[in-house]
Amino acid sequence: MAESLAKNASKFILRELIGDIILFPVWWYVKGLARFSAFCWYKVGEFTNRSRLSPKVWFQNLFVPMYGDYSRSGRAISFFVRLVVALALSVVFIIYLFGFSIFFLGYLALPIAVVYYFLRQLFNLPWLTF
Amino acid sequence: MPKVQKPYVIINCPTCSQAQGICPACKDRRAAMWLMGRYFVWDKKVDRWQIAEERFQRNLHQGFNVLLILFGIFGLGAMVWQALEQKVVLDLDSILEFLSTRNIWKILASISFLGDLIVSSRIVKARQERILVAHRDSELLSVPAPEISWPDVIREETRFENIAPAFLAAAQKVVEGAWTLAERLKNPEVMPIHIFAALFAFHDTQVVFGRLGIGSKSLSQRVNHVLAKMPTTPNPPKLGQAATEILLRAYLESVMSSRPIVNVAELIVAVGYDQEVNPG
Repeated sequence: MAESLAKNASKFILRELIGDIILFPVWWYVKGLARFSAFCWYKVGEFTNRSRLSPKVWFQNLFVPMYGDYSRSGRAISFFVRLVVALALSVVFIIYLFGFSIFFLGYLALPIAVVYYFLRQLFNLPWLTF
Repeated sequence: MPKVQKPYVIINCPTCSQAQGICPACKDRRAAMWLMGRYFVWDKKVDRWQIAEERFQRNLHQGFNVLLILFGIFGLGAMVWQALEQKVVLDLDSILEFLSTRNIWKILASISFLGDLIVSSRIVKARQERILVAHRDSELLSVPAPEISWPDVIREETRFENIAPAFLAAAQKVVEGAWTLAERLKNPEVMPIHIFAALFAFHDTQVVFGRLGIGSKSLSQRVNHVLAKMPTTPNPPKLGQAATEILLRAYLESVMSSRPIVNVAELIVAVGYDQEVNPG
C-alpha cells in the first residue's frame, strides 16, 4: 500500500511540476486558446445580439416609428433619430471590437514576448526601437 | 389522490452489510442512483491511504501555485525597484530603454513572468478539467423512476457514472473528516451522523444552524451522545450504505438546483433527509 502511495505520489509530482511546465505552451495555444476565443466570441456576440446597445437592433427597427407616432413627420424624425443612434452605436461597437482584438492578440503574443524577453536577457537579441 | 412518483430512485446493494472486505456484488459501490435514465455511483475508495494521497496532492498543487505567485510578485517587485533606481519616467522611449538593458534582476523577473503565465494556466486548467454535475433536463426529470432491483442495476455497470469528481474540495474534506472521525472512534462504518459531525467544522454549517436558531453547543453535545453509543471494532471503518446514500442525495440536490458542483451546502441538505440525523 505504501509502495503504491509512493508510486502515485511520484507520478503526481512529475505531472504537476514537470508536465505542467513543459506542456504549458501546448495548453496555452490549444485548449487555452479555444477557451479564450470562445470567451471573446461570446462577449462580442453578447454586444451584437443581446445587449441594449446592439446597433443591429437599431438598424433592424430603422423604419419603425418611435412612441407610436405614425404621422409622416413622426416617421421622418424617428428614422433620422434611429439612424444617428445606430451609427453612434456602430462606432462604439467598432471600438469594442478593436479592444477585444487587442486583448486577443495580447493573449497570443504574451508567452512569446515573455520567452523572448528572457532569451534577450541571456543573449544579445535585437530590441524594439522607434 | 394519486401518489406522485419520484424522478429518481436510490438502490442499495443487498449483500454489502454481510460482506467481509470488498463486496463482490457491488465492488464497494454500496448504492446507486437512477436519475434521468442514468446510473450514478460513489466510486471512490475512502481510507487512510487515499486520504493521505489526496491531501498530499492538494497541498502540493496549492503549494506550487502559491510558490509561483510569490515568485511572480518578487519578479514584479524587482522590476519596479530597478525602474525606481534607474529613475524611469512614464514615457514609452524611457520604458523601452529601461527594458532593453540587461542584468540579473531582469533575468529573474522574466522567469517570474513565465511563472505567472504557468500559474494562471494551471488555475484555469484545474477549473476546466473539473467534472461537473449532470445537466438538469426537465423533460427527462418528468419520467418517473422505474422499479429496479440491485441485479438490474449491476447489469448496467458499464454505464455507471462516478459522482466523486463532482464534489468540490470542501465537500471531499467533509467525507474525509467523517471517515477520520469514524476511525478515531473505532466505529465499523461511516454513518450519516459522522458526516453531520464532520460538517460542523465548516463555517457554512454554523451559519445555517445559527440562522435556524439552533445552538451549536447543544447540538454537538447531542451528536457526541449519539456517537458514544455507536458500536466499536478494531478494524478501520468502511463507508456505510447510509452515508453513500447521503452523498448520492447531495449530488441529486445539485442536479435539481442546477448547480455545477456539489458543495458543503448540498451535503447539509442531504444529511437533513436522514432519519437518524433528523428523526422529525
